[in-house]
Amino acid sequence: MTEEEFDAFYSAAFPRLTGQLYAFTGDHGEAQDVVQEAFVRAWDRRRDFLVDEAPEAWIRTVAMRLAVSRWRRARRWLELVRRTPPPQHVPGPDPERAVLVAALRTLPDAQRMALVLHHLCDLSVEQVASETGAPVGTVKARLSRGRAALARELATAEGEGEDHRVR
Amino acid sequence: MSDDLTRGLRQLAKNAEVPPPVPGAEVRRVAVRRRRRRRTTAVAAGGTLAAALAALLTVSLGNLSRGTDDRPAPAASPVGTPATPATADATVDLSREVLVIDSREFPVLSGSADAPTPLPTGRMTVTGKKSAKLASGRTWVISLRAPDGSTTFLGSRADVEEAPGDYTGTPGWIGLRRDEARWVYERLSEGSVVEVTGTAPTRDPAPPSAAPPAPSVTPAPTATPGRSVRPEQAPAGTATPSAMVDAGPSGSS
Repeated sequence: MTEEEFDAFYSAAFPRLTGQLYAFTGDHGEAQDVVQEAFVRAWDRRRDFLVDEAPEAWIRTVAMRLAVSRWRRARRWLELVRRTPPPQHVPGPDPERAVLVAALRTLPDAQRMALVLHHLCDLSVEQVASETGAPVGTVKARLSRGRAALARELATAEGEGEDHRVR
Repeated sequence: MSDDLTRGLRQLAKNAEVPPPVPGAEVRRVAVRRRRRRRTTAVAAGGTLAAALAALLTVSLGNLSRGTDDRPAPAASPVGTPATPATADATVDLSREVLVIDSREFPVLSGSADAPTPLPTGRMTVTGKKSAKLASGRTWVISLRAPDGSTTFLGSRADVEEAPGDYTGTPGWIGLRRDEARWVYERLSEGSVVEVTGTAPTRDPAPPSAAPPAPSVTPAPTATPGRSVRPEQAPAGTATPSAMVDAGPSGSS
């Protein structure tokens, strides 16, 4: 991958990936940080990266792993350090979205990752399995449990109206 | 539910899309600089204990992991700095009362020069970490060993939440605001090198916050952790990090 190709790929894929990572992390700042970091690593390992026929999936996998590793633990402190914490619930025209973000955040990482990859990134169950290194049966279980938990959370949130479930 | 979920997630993601904050060239630059830094570290630490190398590499990676950090590259040429064991991972400038790490500066409370036992200076090595709250109300504590064998602690101080610079500090402690102490704690691990330079200002009635930033008491080594090795310390410091890592208690981090 030449510099020009990398830059073009970066410009095109960065926005989409931060959107996807936001769905996974529920945090704008963290989503940007991990995607950025994944791109840095991608350039450093561009030889492996070339071999991989799906560079965007490579970046997403790295970014998601970063999001569940030490990056996640550091998240709160990053926000504090930035001193301008990104708004947790975008006070926008769509309170539904805020409710969904809050509900997603209550799920365990593995379930959330499976849901995002399958329902947002359009990966098949088998692809999710290979990307997360879990057996197909486990992925199916995570998806169904995740959906059930999410449905419960959303129902509760609806019942409580404008409840801000910030923890 | 699945369709609703897909639709909801798509909206969510679409709405969260942001353009790249820095150009691709900057991303490549960070990657290249990090690689160069790794190599420099490896060369400098070559032949010493593998444990020290691993620790230093980990720290280098950790420090560079912000994509947007713009710390200047460690002093230029690959052959130019053979005496530098490794760039310090953080620098404490007692004169300016700041701790510099990862291009960020945090105010510190470091005691004063006229205290009974002023802080030692020089390259210190992290020998242990403790995140639990101590009896003194301090948390996120890192112990540092100075070249002279004395121990200094770096950590939060419950009593300095308001303004670290406004109190006379306790000897042997470098105090930070709690949240900042945690941030620093996350970035330093055993074996990390913290360079302490300068002299704590002598306390007098004038409030320190009103004073202008201390003009060039120690000009060079302040803002750039990568360049703050003082010549007289460099040779001795070469062996220090590895020795410390090896001898240090395994800590409780």
